[in-house]
Amino acid sequence: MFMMNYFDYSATTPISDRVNEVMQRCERDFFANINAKHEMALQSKLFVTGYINRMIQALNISESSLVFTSGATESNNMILFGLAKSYPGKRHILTTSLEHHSMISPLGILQKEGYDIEFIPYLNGELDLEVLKNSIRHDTLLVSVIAVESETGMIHPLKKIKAICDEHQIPLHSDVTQAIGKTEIDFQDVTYASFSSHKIYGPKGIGACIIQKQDIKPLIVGGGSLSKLRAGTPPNALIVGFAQALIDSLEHLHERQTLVNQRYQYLVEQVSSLDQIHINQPKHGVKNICNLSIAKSKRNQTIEKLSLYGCFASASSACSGQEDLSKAVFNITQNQDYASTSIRVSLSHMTKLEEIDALVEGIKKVINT
Amino acid sequence: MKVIILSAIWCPACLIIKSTIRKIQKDYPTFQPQFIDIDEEEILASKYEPLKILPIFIIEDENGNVIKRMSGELKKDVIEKEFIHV
Repeated sequence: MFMMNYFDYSATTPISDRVNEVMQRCERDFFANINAKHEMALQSKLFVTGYINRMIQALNISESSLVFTSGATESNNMILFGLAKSYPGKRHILTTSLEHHSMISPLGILQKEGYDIEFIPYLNGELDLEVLKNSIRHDTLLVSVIAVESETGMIHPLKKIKAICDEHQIPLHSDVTQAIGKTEIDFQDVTYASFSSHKIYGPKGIGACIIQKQDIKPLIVGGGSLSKLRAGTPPNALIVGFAQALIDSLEHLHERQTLVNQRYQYLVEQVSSLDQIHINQPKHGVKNICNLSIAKSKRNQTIEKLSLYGCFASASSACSGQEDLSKAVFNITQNQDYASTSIRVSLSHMTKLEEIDALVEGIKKVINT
Repeated sequence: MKVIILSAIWCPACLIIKSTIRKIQKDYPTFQPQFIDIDEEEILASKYEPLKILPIFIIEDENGNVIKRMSGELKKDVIEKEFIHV
Protein backbone atom coordinates (compact mmCIF):
# COMPACT_ATOMS: atom_id res chain seq x y z
CA MET A 1 0.00 0.00 0.00
CA PHE A 2 1.24 3.48 -0.88
CA MET A 3 1.92 5.30 2.37
CA MET A 4 1.14 8.96 2.70
CA ASN A 5 3.31 10.83 5.17
CA TYR A 6 2.35 14.48 5.42
CA PHE A 7 5.03 17.06 6.28
CA ASP A 8 3.38 20.19 4.92
CA TYR A 9 1.39 21.38 7.95
CA SER A 10 2.69 24.92 7.46
CA ALA A 11 0.93 24.99 4.08
CA THR A 12 -2.35 23.73 5.47
CA THR A 13 -3.75 21.36 8.09
CA PRO A 14 -6.66 18.92 8.13
CA ILE A 15 -9.61 20.05 10.23
CA SER A 16 -9.78 18.40 13.62
CA ASP A 17 -12.60 16.02 14.58
CA ARG A 18 -13.86 18.48 17.17
CA VAL A 19 -13.97 21.31 14.62
CA ASN A 20 -15.76 19.02 12.18
CA GLU A 21 -18.39 18.18 14.83
CA VAL A 22 -19.19 21.78 15.76
CA MET A 23 -19.35 22.79 12.10
CA GLN A 24 -21.75 19.98 11.27
CA ARG A 25 -23.92 20.86 14.25
CA CYS A 26 -23.93 24.48 13.17
CA GLU A 27 -24.84 23.67 9.56
CA ARG A 28 -27.65 21.41 10.78
CA ASP A 29 -29.17 23.43 13.61
CA PHE A 30 -27.85 27.01 13.49
CA PHE A 31 -27.53 27.88 9.80
CA ALA A 32 -29.98 30.83 9.79
CA ASN A 33 -28.77 34.26 8.75
CA ILE A 34 -27.76 35.81 12.05
CA ASN A 35 -28.70 39.27 10.79
CA ALA A 36 -32.36 38.25 10.44
CA LYS A 37 -34.90 38.95 13.19
CA HIS A 38 -36.82 35.68 13.58
CA GLU A 39 -36.37 33.17 16.38
CA MET A 40 -34.23 30.76 14.37
CA ALA A 41 -31.86 33.60 13.46
CA LEU A 42 -31.68 34.65 17.11
CA GLN A 43 -30.85 31.10 18.16
CA SER A 44 -28.18 30.92 15.47
CA LYS A 45 -26.77 34.26 16.55
CA LEU A 46 -26.61 33.08 20.14
CA PHE A 47 -24.77 29.93 19.08
CA VAL A 48 -22.26 31.75 16.83
CA THR A 49 -21.59 34.68 19.16
CA GLY A 50 -20.97 32.24 21.99
CA TYR A 51 -18.04 30.84 20.02
CA ILE A 52 -16.87 34.33 18.98
CA ASN A 53 -16.83 35.47 22.60
CA ARG A 54 -14.76 32.48 23.63
CA MET A 55 -12.38 33.20 20.77
CA ILE A 56 -12.03 36.84 21.85
CA GLN A 57 -11.34 35.69 25.39
CA ALA A 58 -8.71 33.21 24.22
CA LEU A 59 -6.99 35.90 22.14
CA ASN A 60 -7.21 38.37 25.04
CA ILE A 61 -8.40 41.21 22.83
CA SER A 62 -11.34 43.59 22.89
CA GLU A 63 -14.61 42.59 21.24
CA SER A 64 -14.52 45.33 18.61
CA SER A 65 -11.05 44.47 17.38
CA LEU A 66 -11.89 41.11 15.77
CA VAL A 67 -12.95 41.14 12.10
CA PHE A 68 -13.61 37.95 10.13
CA THR A 69 -12.35 37.72 6.56
CA SER A 70 -11.96 34.98 3.96
CA GLY A 71 -8.39 34.30 5.11
CA ALA A 72 -5.03 35.85 5.86
CA THR A 73 -4.64 37.05 2.26
CA GLU A 74 -7.76 39.17 2.53
CA SER A 75 -6.75 40.31 6.02
CA ASN A 76 -3.37 41.52 4.75
CA ASN A 77 -5.02 43.29 1.81
CA MET A 78 -7.62 44.84 4.09
CA ILE A 79 -5.07 46.28 6.47
CA LEU A 80 -2.70 47.63 3.82
CA PHE A 81 -5.23 49.11 1.42
CA GLY A 82 -7.66 50.12 4.17
CA LEU A 83 -4.97 52.00 6.02
CA ALA A 84 -3.64 53.60 2.81
CA LYS A 85 -7.18 54.87 2.13
CA SER A 86 -7.37 56.38 5.61
CA TYR A 87 -4.06 58.25 5.43
CA PRO A 88 -3.45 59.29 1.79
CA GLY A 89 -0.63 61.65 2.81
CA LYS A 90 1.44 58.87 4.38
CA ARG A 91 3.20 57.00 1.61
CA HIS A 92 6.13 55.22 3.23
CA ILE A 93 5.96 51.62 4.46
CA LEU A 94 8.68 49.66 6.24
CA THR A 95 8.63 45.90 5.91
CA THR A 96 10.82 42.82 5.42
CA SER A 97 11.80 40.86 2.34
CA LEU A 98 10.54 37.66 4.00
CA GLU A 99 6.85 38.54 3.99
CA HIS A 100 4.28 36.22 2.46
CA HIS A 101 3.11 36.88 -1.12
CA SER A 102 -0.20 38.12 0.25
CA MET A 103 1.74 41.05 1.72
CA ILE A 104 4.32 41.46 -1.05
CA SER A 105 1.70 41.71 -3.84
CA PRO A 106 -0.40 44.48 -2.26
CA LEU A 107 2.85 46.25 -1.37
CA GLY A 108 3.82 45.91 -5.05
CA ILE A 109 0.56 47.58 -6.07
CA LEU A 110 1.12 50.42 -3.60
CA GLN A 111 4.69 50.81 -4.90
CA LYS A 112 3.30 51.16 -8.43
CA GLU A 113 1.03 53.89 -7.10
CA GLY A 114 4.08 55.78 -5.88
CA TYR A 115 4.44 54.50 -2.31
CA ASP A 116 7.97 54.17 -1.01
CA ILE A 117 8.31 50.56 0.16
CA GLU A 118 11.46 50.15 2.21
CA PHE A 119 12.84 46.78 3.28
CA ILE A 120 14.50 46.56 6.68
CA PRO A 121 17.79 44.67 6.23
CA TYR A 122 18.96 41.66 8.25
CA LEU A 123 22.20 41.64 10.18
CA ASN A 124 23.68 38.23 11.06
CA GLY A 125 20.34 36.65 10.29
CA GLU A 126 18.31 38.99 12.48
CA LEU A 127 16.26 42.04 11.58
CA ASP A 128 18.40 45.15 12.01
CA LEU A 129 16.33 47.12 14.50
CA GLU A 130 18.77 50.06 14.47
CA VAL A 131 18.04 50.54 10.77
CA LEU A 132 14.33 50.24 11.48
CA LYS A 133 14.63 52.91 14.17
CA ASN A 134 16.47 55.27 11.84
CA SER A 135 14.23 54.64 8.84
CA ILE A 136 10.94 55.79 10.35
CA ARG A 137 9.84 59.07 8.73
CA HIS A 138 7.14 61.66 9.26
CA ASP A 139 5.19 60.09 6.36
CA THR A 140 5.58 56.44 7.46
CA LEU A 141 2.18 54.81 7.19
CA LEU A 142 3.01 51.46 8.71
CA VAL A 143 5.67 49.01 9.83
CA SER A 144 4.75 45.47 8.84
CA VAL A 145 6.77 42.48 10.00
CA ILE A 146 5.72 38.85 9.70
CA ALA A 147 5.71 37.18 13.15
CA VAL A 148 7.12 33.82 12.04
CA GLU A 149 8.80 33.49 8.66
CA SER A 150 7.20 30.57 6.84
CA GLU A 151 10.21 28.78 5.39
CA THR A 152 12.65 28.52 8.28
CA GLY A 153 10.29 29.32 11.15
CA MET A 154 12.33 32.33 12.25
CA ILE A 155 10.56 34.34 14.96
CA HIS A 156 10.71 38.14 14.66
CA PRO A 157 10.91 40.11 17.94
CA LEU A 158 7.51 41.82 17.82
CA LYS A 159 7.77 43.25 21.33
CA LYS A 160 11.00 45.11 20.52
CA ILE A 161 9.64 46.25 17.14
CA LYS A 162 6.45 47.53 18.77
CA ALA A 163 8.48 49.51 21.31
CA ILE A 164 10.29 51.26 18.43
CA CYS A 165 7.01 51.89 16.63
CA ASP A 166 5.42 53.27 19.81
CA GLU A 167 8.30 55.72 20.29
CA HIS A 168 7.47 57.17 16.88
CA GLN A 169 3.71 56.63 17.12
CA ILE A 170 3.70 54.41 14.04
CA PRO A 171 1.33 51.43 13.86
CA LEU A 172 2.72 47.90 13.62
CA HIS A 173 1.07 45.19 11.58
CA SER A 174 2.06 41.55 11.74
CA ASP A 175 0.99 38.58 9.68
CA VAL A 176 0.82 36.03 12.50
CA THR A 177 -0.48 33.17 10.33
CA GLN A 178 2.53 30.92 10.96
CA ALA A 179 2.83 31.96 14.60
CA ILE A 180 -0.61 31.48 16.04
CA GLY A 181 -1.02 28.15 17.78
CA LYS A 182 2.74 27.54 17.41
CA THR A 183 4.22 30.11 19.78
CA GLU A 184 2.96 32.60 22.36
CA ILE A 185 1.59 35.83 20.92
CA ASP A 186 0.69 38.88 22.94
CA PHE A 187 -1.65 40.91 20.76
CA GLN A 188 -0.73 44.01 22.73
CA ASP A 189 2.51 43.82 20.74
CA VAL A 190 0.76 44.73 17.50
CA THR A 191 -1.66 47.37 16.27
CA TYR A 192 -3.01 45.08 13.55
CA ALA A 193 -2.66 41.35 12.95
CA SER A 194 -3.78 38.90 10.27
CA PHE A 195 -4.19 35.15 10.39
CA SER A 196 -6.13 32.26 8.93
CA SER A 197 -8.00 29.26 10.21
CA HIS A 198 -6.69 26.48 7.98
CA LYS A 199 -3.19 26.52 9.50
CA ILE A 200 -4.58 25.61 12.92
CA TYR A 201 -6.82 22.63 12.08
CA GLY A 202 -9.77 24.85 11.21
CA PRO A 203 -11.71 25.16 7.96
CA LYS A 204 -10.39 26.84 4.81
CA GLY A 205 -12.09 30.01 3.59
CA ILE A 206 -12.01 31.99 6.82
CA GLY A 207 -9.47 34.14 8.58
CA ALA A 208 -9.39 37.23 10.72
CA CYS A 209 -7.86 40.62 11.35
CA ILE A 210 -7.20 42.03 14.75
CA ILE A 211 -7.59 45.77 14.53
CA GLN A 212 -6.70 47.52 17.78
CA LYS A 213 -6.96 51.01 16.29
CA GLN A 214 -10.24 51.65 14.53
CA ASP A 215 -8.85 53.73 11.68
CA ILE A 216 -9.08 51.38 8.72
CA LYS A 217 -11.50 52.04 5.88
CA PRO A 218 -13.46 49.03 4.59
CA LEU A 219 -12.65 47.46 1.22
CA ILE A 220 -15.75 45.27 1.01
CA VAL A 221 -19.04 47.08 1.50
CA GLY A 222 -22.61 45.86 1.23
CA GLY A 223 -25.12 44.36 3.62
CA GLY A 224 -24.72 44.19 7.37
CA SER A 225 -22.33 41.77 8.93
CA LEU A 226 -20.54 41.20 12.19
CA SER A 227 -18.27 44.18 11.52
CA LYS A 228 -18.63 47.49 9.69
CA LEU A 229 -15.24 46.76 8.18
CA ARG A 230 -16.32 43.75 6.17
CA ALA A 231 -19.76 43.29 4.65
CA GLY A 232 -21.36 39.97 3.76
CA THR A 233 -23.56 37.34 5.39
CA PRO A 234 -21.58 35.77 8.22
CA PRO A 235 -20.60 32.16 7.42
CA ASN A 236 -21.85 30.58 10.65
CA ALA A 237 -20.21 27.17 10.36
CA LEU A 238 -16.86 28.59 9.24
CA ILE A 239 -16.88 31.01 12.17
CA VAL A 240 -17.62 28.40 14.82
CA GLY A 241 -15.14 25.98 13.24
CA PHE A 242 -12.45 28.66 13.19
CA ALA A 243 -13.25 29.68 16.76
CA GLN A 244 -13.10 26.09 18.01
CA ALA A 245 -9.79 25.49 16.18
CA LEU A 246 -8.31 28.66 17.62
CA ILE A 247 -9.50 27.96 21.17
CA ASP A 248 -8.07 24.42 20.95
CA SER A 249 -4.76 25.67 19.53
CA LEU A 250 -4.33 28.21 22.34
CA GLU A 251 -5.62 26.03 25.18
CA HIS A 252 -3.37 23.15 24.11
CA LEU A 253 -0.44 25.30 22.97
CA HIS A 254 2.12 24.01 25.47
CA GLU A 255 1.03 20.41 25.16
CA ARG A 256 1.25 20.60 21.35
CA GLN A 257 4.58 22.47 21.51
CA THR A 258 6.02 19.69 23.67
CA LEU A 259 4.92 17.03 21.19
CA VAL A 260 6.21 19.05 18.23
CA ASN A 261 9.56 19.68 19.96
CA GLN A 262 9.95 15.94 20.55
CA ARG A 263 9.27 15.24 16.89
CA TYR A 264 11.64 17.98 15.79
CA GLN A 265 14.42 16.57 18.00
CA TYR A 266 13.73 13.05 16.75
CA LEU A 267 13.99 14.20 13.11
CA VAL A 268 17.15 16.22 13.77
CA GLU A 269 18.78 13.27 15.56
CA GLN A 270 17.96 10.96 12.64
CA VAL A 271 19.30 13.24 9.91
CA SER A 272 22.25 14.75 11.78
CA SER A 273 24.29 11.60 11.21
CA LEU A 274 23.97 12.06 7.45
CA ASP A 275 26.93 14.04 6.09
CA GLN A 276 24.91 15.46 3.22
CA ILE A 277 22.33 17.14 5.47
CA HIS A 278 22.48 20.61 6.95
CA ILE A 279 19.78 21.90 9.28
CA ASN A 280 19.02 25.55 8.56
CA GLN A 281 18.04 26.61 12.04
CA PRO A 282 17.35 30.24 12.91
CA LYS A 283 18.58 31.59 16.26
CA HIS A 284 14.98 31.97 17.39
CA GLY A 285 12.54 29.73 15.62
CA VAL A 286 9.41 27.64 15.99
CA LYS A 287 9.99 23.91 16.07
CA ASN A 288 7.11 22.87 13.86
CA ILE A 289 9.30 23.88 10.91
CA CYS A 290 12.52 22.02 10.19
CA ASN A 291 14.33 23.46 7.19
CA LEU A 292 17.06 21.24 5.87
CA SER A 293 19.41 21.21 2.90
CA ILE A 294 20.45 18.08 1.06
CA ALA A 295 23.81 18.56 -0.61
CA LYS A 296 23.76 18.62 -4.40
CA SER A 297 20.03 17.95 -4.60
CA LYS A 298 17.97 20.80 -6.02
CA ARG A 299 14.94 21.53 -3.91
CA ASN A 300 12.21 20.85 -6.46
CA GLN A 301 13.80 17.56 -7.45
CA THR A 302 14.05 16.59 -3.78
CA ILE A 303 10.36 17.34 -3.25
CA GLU A 304 9.37 15.32 -6.32
CA LYS A 305 11.50 12.35 -5.28
CA LEU A 306 10.24 12.43 -1.70
CA SER A 307 6.71 12.53 -3.03
CA LEU A 308 7.37 9.33 -4.99
CA TYR A 309 8.46 7.76 -1.70
CA GLY A 310 5.19 8.87 -0.07
CA CYS A 311 6.59 11.85 1.88
CA PHE A 312 5.06 15.24 1.22
CA ALA A 313 7.17 18.26 2.18
CA SER A 314 7.59 21.56 0.39
CA ALA A 315 10.12 23.81 -1.29
CA SER A 316 10.16 27.58 -1.18
CA SER A 317 8.40 29.57 -3.82
CA ALA A 318 10.37 30.82 -6.79
CA CYS A 319 11.66 34.33 -7.34
CA SER A 320 14.02 35.05 -4.54
CA GLY A 321 16.11 37.22 -6.85
CA GLN A 322 18.67 34.51 -7.48
CA GLU A 323 18.35 31.25 -9.29
CA ASP A 324 16.56 28.68 -7.19
CA LEU A 325 17.85 30.21 -4.02
CA SER A 326 15.86 30.58 -0.82
CA LYS A 327 16.10 34.12 0.47
CA ALA A 328 15.03 32.98 3.94
CA VAL A 329 17.66 30.25 4.15
CA PHE A 330 20.39 32.45 2.69
CA ASN A 331 19.49 35.08 5.27
CA ILE A 332 20.28 32.78 8.19
CA THR A 333 23.13 30.74 6.66
CA GLN A 334 24.79 33.16 4.18
CA ASN A 335 25.49 29.99 2.20
CA GLN A 336 24.35 29.70 -1.42
CA ASP A 337 24.59 25.91 -1.48
CA TYR A 338 22.37 25.53 1.55
CA ALA A 339 19.98 28.12 0.15
CA SER A 340 19.63 26.35 -3.19
CA THR A 341 19.06 22.86 -1.79
CA SER A 342 16.74 23.52 1.13
CA ILE A 343 13.34 22.02 1.78
CA ARG A 344 10.77 22.71 4.47
CA VAL A 345 9.55 19.86 6.61
CA SER A 346 6.64 21.06 8.69
CA LEU A 347 5.55 19.01 11.64
CA SER A 348 2.47 18.70 13.76
CA HIS A 349 1.61 17.38 17.20
CA MET A 350 -0.13 14.64 15.18
CA THR A 351 3.02 13.59 13.30
CA LYS A 352 3.92 10.00 14.13
CA LEU A 353 7.49 8.90 14.73
CA GLU A 354 7.01 6.18 12.08
CA GLU A 355 6.24 8.93 9.59
CA ILE A 356 9.53 10.61 10.46
CA ASP A 357 11.28 7.27 9.99
CA ALA A 358 9.72 7.04 6.52
CA LEU A 359 10.90 10.58 5.75
CA VAL A 360 14.44 9.80 6.85
CA GLU A 361 14.44 6.70 4.64
CA GLY A 362 13.16 8.86 1.78
CA ILE A 363 15.92 11.41 2.36
CA LYS A 364 18.52 8.62 2.32
CA LYS A 365 17.14 7.45 -1.04
CA VAL A 366 17.32 11.01 -2.39
CA ILE A 367 20.95 11.22 -1.30
CA ASN A 368 21.78 7.90 -2.94
CA THR A 369 20.08 8.52 -6.30
CA MET B 1 19.57 52.42 -26.22
CA LYS B 2 17.11 51.79 -23.44
CA VAL B 3 17.02 49.85 -20.20
CA ILE B 4 14.07 47.54 -19.61
CA ILE B 5 13.32 45.80 -16.31
CA LEU B 6 10.92 42.85 -16.25
CA SER B 7 9.26 42.54 -12.87
CA ALA B 8 6.17 41.35 -11.00
CA ILE B 9 4.33 42.72 -8.00
CA TRP B 10 4.55 39.39 -6.12
CA CYS B 11 8.33 39.27 -6.33
CA PRO B 12 10.10 40.74 -3.26
CA ALA B 13 13.35 41.18 -5.21
CA CYS B 14 11.47 43.31 -7.78
CA LEU B 15 10.12 45.59 -5.06
CA ILE B 16 13.60 45.93 -3.62
CA ILE B 17 15.01 46.77 -7.07
CA LYS B 18 12.37 49.44 -7.64
CA SER B 19 13.36 50.98 -4.34
CA THR B 20 17.06 50.80 -5.37
CA ILE B 21 16.28 52.43 -8.73
CA ARG B 22 14.61 55.32 -6.91
CA LYS B 23 17.77 55.83 -4.88
CA ILE B 24 19.92 55.70 -8.04
CA GLN B 25 17.68 58.27 -9.71
CA LYS B 26 18.57 60.78 -7.00
CA ASP B 27 22.13 60.76 -8.42
CA TYR B 28 21.18 59.95 -12.01
CA PRO B 29 17.79 61.57 -12.68
CA THR B 30 18.00 60.79 -16.40
CA PHE B 31 18.16 57.05 -15.67
CA GLN B 32 14.57 56.07 -16.44
CA PRO B 33 14.31 52.33 -17.11
CA GLN B 34 11.08 50.99 -18.56
CA PHE B 35 9.43 48.59 -16.14
CA ILE B 36 7.38 45.80 -17.72
CA ASP B 37 5.07 43.83 -15.44
CA ILE B 38 5.20 40.23 -16.67
CA ASP B 39 1.61 39.58 -15.57
CA GLU B 40 -0.05 42.83 -16.64
CA GLU B 41 1.90 43.16 -19.88
CA GLU B 42 2.22 39.47 -20.66
CA ILE B 43 2.47 39.78 -24.45
CA LEU B 44 5.07 42.55 -24.34
CA ALA B 45 7.04 40.71 -21.66
CA SER B 46 6.98 37.44 -23.60
CA LYS B 47 9.17 39.08 -26.28
CA TYR B 48 12.00 38.99 -23.72
CA GLU B 49 11.35 35.39 -22.67
CA PRO B 50 11.14 35.94 -18.91
CA LEU B 51 12.37 32.99 -16.87
CA LYS B 52 11.53 32.33 -13.23
CA ILE B 53 14.29 34.56 -11.90
CA LEU B 54 13.11 38.12 -11.55
CA PRO B 55 13.77 40.96 -12.03
CA ILE B 56 15.40 40.80 -15.46
CA PHE B 57 17.49 43.74 -16.65
CA ILE B 58 17.83 44.26 -20.38
CA ILE B 59 19.63 46.80 -22.55
CA GLU B 60 18.07 47.12 -25.97
CA ASP B 61 19.62 49.06 -28.85
CA GLU B 62 17.78 51.40 -31.24
CA ASN B 63 16.84 48.47 -33.47
CA GLY B 64 15.33 46.46 -30.64
CA ASN B 65 18.25 44.07 -30.31
CA VAL B 66 19.01 42.85 -26.80
CA ILE B 67 22.65 43.67 -26.12
CA LYS B 68 22.81 42.92 -22.42
CA ARG B 69 20.75 40.80 -20.04
CA MET B 70 21.17 40.23 -16.32
CA SER B 71 18.80 38.95 -13.69
CA GLY B 72 18.28 38.90 -9.95
CA GLU B 73 18.49 41.29 -7.04
CA LEU B 74 21.41 43.35 -8.35
CA LYS B 75 23.17 45.70 -5.98
CA LYS B 76 23.09 49.48 -6.54
CA ASP B 77 26.73 49.66 -7.66
CA VAL B 78 26.24 46.77 -10.11
CA ILE B 79 23.22 48.48 -11.68
CA GLU B 80 25.17 51.73 -12.00
CA LYS B 81 28.17 49.96 -13.55
CA GLU B 82 26.26 47.70 -15.92
CA PHE B 83 23.36 49.91 -16.95
CA ILE B 84 24.42 53.53 -16.50
CA HIS B 85 28.18 53.66 -17.07
CA VAL B 86 28.00 51.57 -20.24
